[in-house]
Amino acid sequence: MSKRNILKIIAFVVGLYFFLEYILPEKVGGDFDSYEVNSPVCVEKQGKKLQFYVGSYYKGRGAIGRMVKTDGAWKKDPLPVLQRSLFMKFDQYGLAEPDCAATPEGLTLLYMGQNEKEPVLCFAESKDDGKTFQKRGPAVFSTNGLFKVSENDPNGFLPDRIKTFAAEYANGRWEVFLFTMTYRIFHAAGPDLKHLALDAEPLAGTTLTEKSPNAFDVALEGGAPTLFYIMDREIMKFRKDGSGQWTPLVWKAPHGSGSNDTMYAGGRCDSSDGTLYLGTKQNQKGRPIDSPFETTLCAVKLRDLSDGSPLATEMTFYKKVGAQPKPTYLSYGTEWAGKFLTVVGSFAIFIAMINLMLFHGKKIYQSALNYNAPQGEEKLPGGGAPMRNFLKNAGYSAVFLIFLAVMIVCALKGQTDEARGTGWKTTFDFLFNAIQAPMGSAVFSMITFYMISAAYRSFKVRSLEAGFLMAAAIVCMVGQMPIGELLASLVPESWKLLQLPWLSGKLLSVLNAAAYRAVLIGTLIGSVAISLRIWLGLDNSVYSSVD
Amino acid sequence: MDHATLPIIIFILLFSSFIITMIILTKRGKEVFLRPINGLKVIDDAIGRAAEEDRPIMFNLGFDDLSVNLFCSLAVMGYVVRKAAKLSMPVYVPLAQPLAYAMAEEFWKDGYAAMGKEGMFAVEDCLRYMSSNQSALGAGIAGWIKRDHVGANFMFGTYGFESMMLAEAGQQAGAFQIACTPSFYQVPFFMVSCDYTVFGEEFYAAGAYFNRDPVLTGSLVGQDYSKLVLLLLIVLGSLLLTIFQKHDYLRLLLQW
Repeated sequence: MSKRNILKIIAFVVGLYFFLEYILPEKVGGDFDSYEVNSPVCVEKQGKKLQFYVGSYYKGRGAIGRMVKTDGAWKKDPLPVLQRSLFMKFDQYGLAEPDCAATPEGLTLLYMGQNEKEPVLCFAESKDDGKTFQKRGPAVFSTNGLFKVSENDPNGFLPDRIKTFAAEYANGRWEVFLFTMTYRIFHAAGPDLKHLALDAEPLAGTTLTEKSPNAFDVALEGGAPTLFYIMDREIMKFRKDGSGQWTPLVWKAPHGSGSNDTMYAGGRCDSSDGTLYLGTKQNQKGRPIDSPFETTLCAVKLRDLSDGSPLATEMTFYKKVGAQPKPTYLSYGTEWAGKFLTVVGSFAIFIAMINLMLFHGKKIYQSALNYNAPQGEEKLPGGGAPMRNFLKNAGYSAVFLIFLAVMIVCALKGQTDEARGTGWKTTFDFLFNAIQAPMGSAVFSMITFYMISAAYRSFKVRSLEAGFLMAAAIVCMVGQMPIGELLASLVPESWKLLQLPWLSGKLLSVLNAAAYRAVLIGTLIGSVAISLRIWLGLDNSVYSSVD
Repeated sequence: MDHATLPIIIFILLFSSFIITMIILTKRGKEVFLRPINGLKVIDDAIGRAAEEDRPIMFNLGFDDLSVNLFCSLAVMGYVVRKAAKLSMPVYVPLAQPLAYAMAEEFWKDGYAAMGKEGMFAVEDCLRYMSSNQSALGAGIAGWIKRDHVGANFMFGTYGFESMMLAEAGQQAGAFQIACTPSFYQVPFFMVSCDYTVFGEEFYAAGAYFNRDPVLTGSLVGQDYSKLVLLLLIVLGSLLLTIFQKHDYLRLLLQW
């Protein structure tokens, strides 16, 4: 068998392995919570205590697991009760921060669906105490990038993206509080999660710091909502006062206070007994920051907090974080291949460096041997002086070798952990930040002049197409300048075509986007075709240098 | 690595079946028409003009590492090197990726060897690893173009902002320039500075254009059928969404 055929077979087998790894469904199963557990929520249904939590697995994707309290101990289900959807976009990348409420029909579990655009508040319903859930889709607000404003009965205009939420169900009505990316809390309410009425203004007085809460929930105490959230290591509890302002009631450190190594990773309050269930991440002092930490689900009695008595804690689930589980059984191989590539790549760089040193060293050596020899017919200014000839032939090689040596010495000697990423504490940083980076920026800035000369040439109207190009360029340039806005303000609102900012927007977002997508589709299908040819060994040009 | 969703799996299998079927049919003798692409037709003219002016040729491979784009560019480079070797012309190849160097060297040597001109030009003079840093690459190649007064400048592969520097340096040196790239955002820069620009899927057709191999031409036809299916789906989806916009199930199906 020829070398070419052997290579083709190897390429096919490796390609098949990677292809199968790509198309095989994810292995979530029982190891969905083997990496990390967080965001517990507890609910009582007909005297039965249930707890739902997020198990994070591959790439931080979350699936929701369930625990049931029997004989005073929490017992967890082996498989997740709810996991990401491969077919629906709203929770394609995982689920996070569940909240649960008992309704007359059964249980409703709300969660943040992770996807490629923005987190979406979604919900699912269960009629069998949370053993199985039926997804009901997203509660659509008009900011949800996945959905058009007019679609699917949006629950009003939310002027910001949702960071997290808290929901409670009472007297046939949902009370939903949305914590947004700009640290404001909006209130929405209604009988159905698909048809909520959103308040236009955020709750007054609830924004204390510009930080996201570690845990956030609402409890309906005597019909009036009370908000809890944990910020850093303190619990904040808010209730509306007589003037309609939300005021903080409690400022206490919950479980884990005093330890600098405890972080809170979500959680909800069980309003039936005032217990706050928390996910925590703990790291022993002195341990490197990237070492495995321990995650727990625990419970804190809020009532104890309010009167300052010692904290009553209850551990529900403990997990020592190890390696992330692999998404499919074939992922072990692809991970190994990645490591193999890194190792081989490192050796290749080492060999390449030696090769470069030899190449340039040889050049310098030969130029030194020919130091006084005539350099052909070409004469440099100075009549072919030996030094000039030497510099012409080996000058760049010498500069390369000098700087290679300088950088290696500085990198090996000067770089310390403290200096990394902190500026110019070492010579290496100085050489990199004060010489290499500005030189790169200087070269980049030259593009402006190239652009001007190119634009001057292309804007000469020599044909009909060039005329269209010129017109489109003027519309886009002026449309995005302040003067464009000023000119548009002089044109009546109904004459859209004469408003340059509008026209420029349409040119870019409709005509240009359509052309871009057409080119992109063609390019991607082309790359699929050539990949297929290489994989199946049909494209001989790739193997032309073999044999 | 992200995992394929069901629609992706269906599309991959569908497109692959089109491509493989058309390769089989063209191998069995099915006639295939390839639309002339001006930017690729004039490659011979560019080489000829550089030979007439006795100026070297430069073939840029862009920023591609070992990838399908590099193989596409190398296929055309092989053709250019053979043509240049026939006319005893040097072809300079600046490189941005160390791994691409080895591949390019083989193609370059093969091209000269195929025309019996092995050893006519030194590899180290013609193939140079410039830098993986865009600024350094752009500045280095621009300097090389001007110093050696390049007569024909081919820019194939993926580019970033350095595209403008290369193309303008070639323009200022008076080189005949042909750019062929899948990098959509660099197309305007190439358009205004080059004599011919080929972009998008035509980049992948370039290999088939010079070598009427049934495998390459068949896969091109397969790609066209795939695009036809996508076009029909887009039109059908737009119509259905417009007509039945109130129906939630259809929206979910179309989003899927």
